[in-house]
Amino acid sequence: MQEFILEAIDITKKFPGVVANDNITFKAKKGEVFGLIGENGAGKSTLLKVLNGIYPHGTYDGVIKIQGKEIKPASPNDAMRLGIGFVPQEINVLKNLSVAENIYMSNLNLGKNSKLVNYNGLYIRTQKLLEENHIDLDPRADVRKLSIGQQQMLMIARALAGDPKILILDEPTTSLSNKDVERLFTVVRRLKEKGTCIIFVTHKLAEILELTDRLCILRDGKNVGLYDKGEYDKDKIIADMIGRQLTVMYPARNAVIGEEVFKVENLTVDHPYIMNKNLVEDITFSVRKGEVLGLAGLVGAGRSEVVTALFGVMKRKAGKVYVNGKEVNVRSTSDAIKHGMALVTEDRKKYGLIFIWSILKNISISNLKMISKLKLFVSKPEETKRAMEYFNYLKIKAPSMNTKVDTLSGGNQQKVVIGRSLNAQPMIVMLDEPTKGIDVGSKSEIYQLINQLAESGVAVIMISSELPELMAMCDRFIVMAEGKIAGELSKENATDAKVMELAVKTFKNV
Amino acid sequence: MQNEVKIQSTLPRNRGFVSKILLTPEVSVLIPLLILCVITGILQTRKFVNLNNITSILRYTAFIGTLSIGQAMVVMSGEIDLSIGANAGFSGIIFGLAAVKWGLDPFTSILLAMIAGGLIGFINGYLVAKFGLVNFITTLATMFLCRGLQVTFSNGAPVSPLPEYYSDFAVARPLFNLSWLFFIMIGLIIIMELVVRFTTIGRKVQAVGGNKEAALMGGINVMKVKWGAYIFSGVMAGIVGVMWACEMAGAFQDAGMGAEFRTITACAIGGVSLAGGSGSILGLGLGVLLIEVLKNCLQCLSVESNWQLVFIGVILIGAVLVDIVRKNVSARNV
Repeated sequence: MQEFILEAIDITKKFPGVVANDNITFKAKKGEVFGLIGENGAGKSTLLKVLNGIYPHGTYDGVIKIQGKEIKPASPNDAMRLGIGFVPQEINVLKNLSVAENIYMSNLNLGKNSKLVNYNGLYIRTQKLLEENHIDLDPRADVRKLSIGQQQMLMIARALAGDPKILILDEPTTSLSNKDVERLFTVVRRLKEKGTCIIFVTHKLAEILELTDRLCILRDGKNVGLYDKGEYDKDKIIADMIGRQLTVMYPARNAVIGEEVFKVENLTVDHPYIMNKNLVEDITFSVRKGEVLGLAGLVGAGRSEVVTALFGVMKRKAGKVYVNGKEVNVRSTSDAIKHGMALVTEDRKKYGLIFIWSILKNISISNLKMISKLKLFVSKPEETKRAMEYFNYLKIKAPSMNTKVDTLSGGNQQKVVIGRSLNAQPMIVMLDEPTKGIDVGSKSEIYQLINQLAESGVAVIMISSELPELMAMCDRFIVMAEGKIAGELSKENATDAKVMELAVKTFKNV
Repeated sequence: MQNEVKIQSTLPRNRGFVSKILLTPEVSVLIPLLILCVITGILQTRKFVNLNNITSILRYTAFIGTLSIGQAMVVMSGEIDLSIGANAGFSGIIFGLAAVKWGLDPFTSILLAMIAGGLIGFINGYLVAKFGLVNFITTLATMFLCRGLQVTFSNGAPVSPLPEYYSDFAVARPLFNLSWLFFIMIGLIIIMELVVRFTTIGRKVQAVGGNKEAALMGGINVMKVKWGAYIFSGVMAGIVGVMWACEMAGAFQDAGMGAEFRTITACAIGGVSLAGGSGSILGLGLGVLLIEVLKNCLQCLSVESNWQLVFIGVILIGAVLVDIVRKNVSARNV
């Protein structure tokens, strides 16, 4: 009787220039939730890709065993057949199909030797699968209408359709609200009872401490720590993850708050396709030099819409903006940058970086004026010098500035985006979920950066769905709900409960 | 304690460097080009390796070469211009009317052609960049528009005869048996290569083609860049319309048929990524040259002219494969 259902022994995977996994060994038992944690760049994604067949047998060194027998997965499909289910980090569902079709996409004829889709059987089988795992979805539902949380459940159901002995969840809670996270945990616990081994990969320390039975820490491609639930020690785990003592998660700030530098009056943004509805309405607030203003609220409250409208990406229906007391007309992003605003968005892939470009070029694009002669000819030495300053200031971890950004970890990519924003020398920096999907070590560095910005006199507006982060970093809070401002709180008055109370406020239509 | 990223090199430095050079757009076109020349040179030395033949190949590149520069800028900005060939034809007719029917001087006639071409480009830009219509369908529509105008304004017949000094200009051989038109193309290639590589304009075009949302966030006016690229492409079409008319001693009602596809082929072969965001104008020039050399080699080797298209298709597939390999290698060679 094997104690361990999954064994990964001396897994080593090399790429040109880097050893992503260096003799990693860990073993997971039946019916346990095994946590895998590590900074971005520690080798988690690579290890998962080895386990789920994306890097097939032959492209890595080491042995994978299931129930004591070695397996040699040749492809993701193969890994699935061998009993390893995988739920990737990015939510990737087929929006034009139903829930049932998504789940059984690779098996629509339900195993029978037929070219026809067995719809009746499909819906029945799906209903059974969903009920067994207590996932609340309708097999016939149009996936387009599902919320992000429901789509995540769909991805899990899809992996469960293969009846896996081992289920790997890669950062499953990144886009989920707290309620959805609870639902996810319930499903995971049910699976645990059924005897499935669950490998749970996440950055969020709180989750891993709550949900997992055992925990393995990766750093720089190696396995540096193995803890049992009884031994869980937050500080030790963080120390193992980053290889140094992280004494303070949220560094102290010494900023002098000065005069008002940014004011917004009655900002209103039209809904793009629903008539007579506003995405945000009547938003009025101001920010002072050296101040960090937090924009709190639930997902969908309109926070991102406020900053994208201010930055000139979305059109404003109404509203005035004042920089240093003077009214400015921002109709495009270049206007916004000209008037000293910067926006670091939450979606790095879409809005952040030009992935075929190097770090250098990505940073310099926001201020070509500074590095070009006669505003036309780009000076390579000037460009390099200037970008180097930001490269060092932000402590971007990469072989050089000419490294292509698509090879960087999430945290470092975020730093490049910040670098690009800072390059334009803004007076007002708006950050939308600046630490989303970023590991602990990099988070702390970003907090430090925010502090440095404030200390240098920049006005910072910060949006974050992680309440502890927001509470720790901000001097003042604006809470939004349903597109309007629900209330304003100073640091002294703000508590988690008060913020939440405002965030769930509903406005009666007059 | 420092938190350094330890990178163990598993490849000797040289190999990365060599494969990087081999996969630059310019070299990837140069190699098949040289192979073709060497093979044909050996097998048909008399026909291929003589000044007349080589310079006539180079002269032929002037037209599609210049036109492709316009296409390349649009493609680099992330769009495509299917109307460029018809635009050149239409602008050629305007030039013909100006020079023949309205008796205008060369300067004005050429300017009118460039304005006509630029106007079509302006319309393309307005619809695609400002309005947001799909580039493929929109430029297809303007292509039909141009063809229609070309036939209508010319009354279905060539606008000729052009005053002699135009054909004299086209026939003149100032240097090495090469034409003025060829040198105009070379000049444009050099200028645009410099623009792409060293100017803020070039940087902005590539940013917009690379990731237009990211470019927007970086403060670039994406709409203006794309609009400008289309206008530029239109003006290039105007220039080529004039070039054709000079070469043929008349503006033809069917000039430029299929030219747009040759420009797109040249872009693909010459390393201007059809996904947008990157490209070398020098590579583009070599791509145009490769196609002309190929046609000539096949002729010298007495291959039926019908096979030309087959060979072009094969080379195009090869170019796409090389592009994929290039992207994969560069992703690994950090």
